[in-house]
Amino acid sequence: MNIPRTVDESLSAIKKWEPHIHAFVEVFEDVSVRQDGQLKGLPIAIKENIATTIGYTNASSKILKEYVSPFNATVVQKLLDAGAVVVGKTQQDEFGMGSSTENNGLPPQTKNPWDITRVAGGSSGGSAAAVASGEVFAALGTDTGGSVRQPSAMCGVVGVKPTYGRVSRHGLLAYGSSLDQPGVITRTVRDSALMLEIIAGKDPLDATSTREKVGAYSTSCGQPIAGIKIGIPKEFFAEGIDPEIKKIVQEAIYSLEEQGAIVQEISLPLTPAAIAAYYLIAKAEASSNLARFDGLRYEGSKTNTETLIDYTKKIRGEGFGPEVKRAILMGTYALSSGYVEAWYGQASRVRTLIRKEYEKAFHDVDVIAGPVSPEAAFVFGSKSSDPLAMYLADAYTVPVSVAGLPAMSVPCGMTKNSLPVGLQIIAPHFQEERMFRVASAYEDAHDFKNRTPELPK
Amino acid sequence: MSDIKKIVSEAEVSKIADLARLRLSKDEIAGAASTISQIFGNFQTIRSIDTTGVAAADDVSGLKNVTREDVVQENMLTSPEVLLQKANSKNGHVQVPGVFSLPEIL
Repeated sequence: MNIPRTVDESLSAIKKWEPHIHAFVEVFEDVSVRQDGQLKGLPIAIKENIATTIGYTNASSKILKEYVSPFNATVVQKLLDAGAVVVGKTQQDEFGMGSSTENNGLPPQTKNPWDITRVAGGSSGGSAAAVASGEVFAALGTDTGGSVRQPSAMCGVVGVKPTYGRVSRHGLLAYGSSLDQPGVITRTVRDSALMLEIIAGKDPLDATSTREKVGAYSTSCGQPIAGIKIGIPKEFFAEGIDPEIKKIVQEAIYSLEEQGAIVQEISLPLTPAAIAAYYLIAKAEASSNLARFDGLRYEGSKTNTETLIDYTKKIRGEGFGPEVKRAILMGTYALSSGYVEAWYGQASRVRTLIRKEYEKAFHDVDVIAGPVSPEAAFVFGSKSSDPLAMYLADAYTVPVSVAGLPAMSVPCGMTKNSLPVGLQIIAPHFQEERMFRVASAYEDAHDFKNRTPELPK
Repeated sequence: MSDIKKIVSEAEVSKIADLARLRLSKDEIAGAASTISQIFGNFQTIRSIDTTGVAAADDVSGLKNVTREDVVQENMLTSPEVLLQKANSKNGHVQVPGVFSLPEIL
């Protein structure tokens, strides 16, 4: 297993891989080596939308191109305090809006290490690609509607989205504040458990982080799963899923029966409604969150306009990319007087129904399992001209986000085209231990963690 | 398509863009009207879900009245170097274009 454990190993892997995959926006070559703390100098990467005092924090947006954060995000500070070394900042879709990292507002274009003609997924595509290629031990991403789980599935690595409130959002450039959670990406389930233990917990700087006790995620790994009930939502295997993905994921879930798990079909009828509910809420919150970017403090533009309002409109019109502008327009529309009840209000009420639907499902099963994405990594450009198609592909990750539940992606097979497939494991609120237990049981019984992409010629 | 077009017209996009402080080109406005109409056309399915008597999910974390202890915080990031960054500044303040355009007489 070529997982780098020192800065030197990391930088030499970065030198080999970066010309092919461009996972990083910035690499910090002169970082000091460390051997202290729980992580003893392990090299990690941080997504561009998470504040670090080293390098830029621009969420891959032109409007924040040269912004340097005066503070570290709580998640970053916790990892530094534990002895991690940040070797670079990774590429993403601008402000996290996208599912392929093709909506990056600043270069370069991240590619999938398994096939460089394909996307790495998104929005944390750079973080997933950096871990998959063995450039870093672990990476931080952010997951609003699947942005950690989906690129992890497409790059064949482990990606964890914690319960909403489990991890501090302080220092994240906000997209949808009621949905955003920082998440970890690693090669193994145990490494993810370790990383989550370090970053989880109450933070006085994030009022939505909770005092709920941080679980013993590492010790949950490897515990037997005999008797654990796993629900398979039939709606996750309905129309729209690639038959090859369906087969691989179903076989993966049923293989857990060999370890004594009880697999049963369940129904989550609101699954198709979750896409509309999710996007209406996320874009509404985004339009509000992004209202703060006026280009006055971080850009120092020499643009000459007569009035302040003209200046703001010009800077925002030029500084945001197409998907971000679309989000602001959609969100402003969904919140505008006369429409707010029909769109945002309805989405919020449907959100309550979706949460209840999951609560009810968890009366009968301990975890829920299914695919992460209806398809494997796709070819560049095949969807970027059709935003709706891109949204619809988030069908299995957004319901979980709307419900605020923890979920993770674990590699569970390869397609005929040698592209990784991810298995999604979903747990009740703050029951991440259950999720790690099942994920590690799956990982231990299979060999996917040892499969790595080959360096492109 | 003509029905779908009606969900968000170009005039509405133009108005929303103005409210959201976004300067868009004519092509961007036309493109947005068509794409957003298509997306909202698809999203209309949720309007048929019966939500009578269902509360909005405004309290995602279930927390209420989160306050911090009333103690003075040290090391607050308040210096002009931190706050102004690359801004055009004067006397420690951000310098911006005028809020109103000035009449010739001034």
